[in-house]
Amino acid sequence: MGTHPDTERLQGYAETALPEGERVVVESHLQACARCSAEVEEWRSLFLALAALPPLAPSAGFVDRVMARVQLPVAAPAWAPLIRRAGELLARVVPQSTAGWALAAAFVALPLLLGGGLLVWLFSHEYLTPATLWTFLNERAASGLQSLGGAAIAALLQTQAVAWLVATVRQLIATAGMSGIGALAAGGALMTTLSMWILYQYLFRTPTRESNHVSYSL
Amino acid sequence: MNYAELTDQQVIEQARRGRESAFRELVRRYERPVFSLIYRLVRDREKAEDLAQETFIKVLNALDRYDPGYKFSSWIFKIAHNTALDLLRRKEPETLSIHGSPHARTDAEIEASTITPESGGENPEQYTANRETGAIIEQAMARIRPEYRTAILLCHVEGRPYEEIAVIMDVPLGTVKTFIHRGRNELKRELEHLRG
Repeated sequence: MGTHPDTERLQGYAETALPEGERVVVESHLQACARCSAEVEEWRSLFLALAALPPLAPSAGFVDRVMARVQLPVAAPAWAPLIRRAGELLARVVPQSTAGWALAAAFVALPLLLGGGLLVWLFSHEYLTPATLWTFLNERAASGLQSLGGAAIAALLQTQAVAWLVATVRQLIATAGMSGIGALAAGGALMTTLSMWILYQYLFRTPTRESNHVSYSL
Repeated sequence: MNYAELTDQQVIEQARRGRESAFRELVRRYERPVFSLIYRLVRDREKAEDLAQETFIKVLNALDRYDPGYKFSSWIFKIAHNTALDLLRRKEPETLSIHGSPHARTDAEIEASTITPESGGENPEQYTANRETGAIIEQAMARIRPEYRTAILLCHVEGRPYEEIAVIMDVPLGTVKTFIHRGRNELKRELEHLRG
């Protein structure tokens, strides 16, 4: 009859979890051993009784009680992925350090300084006034646009709104003179700097957030 | 939407889109197995209800972080097991009892904190016999170590494979086999003792 299989093997046999080789060995032993056969039957009965334990139910209204305490996610609108993608692209070009912001500010300030310097140099000549410069630029732009854009752009320039805008700016430059242009440039530079600062403070600087969710990892 | 034909993963997808009905479906699918496991670990109806609620709230509020690479059932059982274990660790060991809440003092309190299994469609004699056998097994189960009890419940009552039990209990596969083997032996001893 040989030695008796250990309890673990008998349990494994009872729950049909033994590999084929071991199963055959245990089975041949059981044919000749009443004690081990009885033990296997006991295990089988226990496993069946355990499997027959009924599932227990919580009291009525359990689902409602759970749902009353669950935070449902807000359904994302269809255009949300586009906004997220745009945000990701923007995040790539937004500077991540003070040095980066300084460089970006320099890129913005450089044209302003160069343009301002050029204007100062131009207006240092007696024969050149803001009014004559504006007339010259306006004529050059009009002829350039006419040749480039054709009749449509020319028609746009002829509209009353554009004509009013051109006249207003021309009058402003003519009456304000050099001090007016300087004030305009200084105001523009100030507005640019202020906008960049606000943009940096409220949009791109990631605030520290505390998650109220518990994280689980498997 | 008819959720009965959807898999857990498909229902979770719907829940992530904010559908309340999908959340309800997940709770309906798992309320009994989760509650059964917790109740059989803590042996107190009121506490088991609170812990089962806590489990579902944790699971549903963290659904956006659920990794579909894992079985949902493993995840929810793992959280249920950990939630029950937290209570057992805080609880004085001698207070565990099969007869309802250990804090119940009157017959009414004991009755209220104990669960009577529903009939599974058997005839009255079978129901009574099964209930008696079930009560003895539950009594024996209450006496074995909690980790053995969890492994036995997941293996034999919930029918989970050893690999999944290892994930749920966060122990190596070999440890699960040891827990189950020793748990069965302890359970058998307790049954022999209870039957006299």
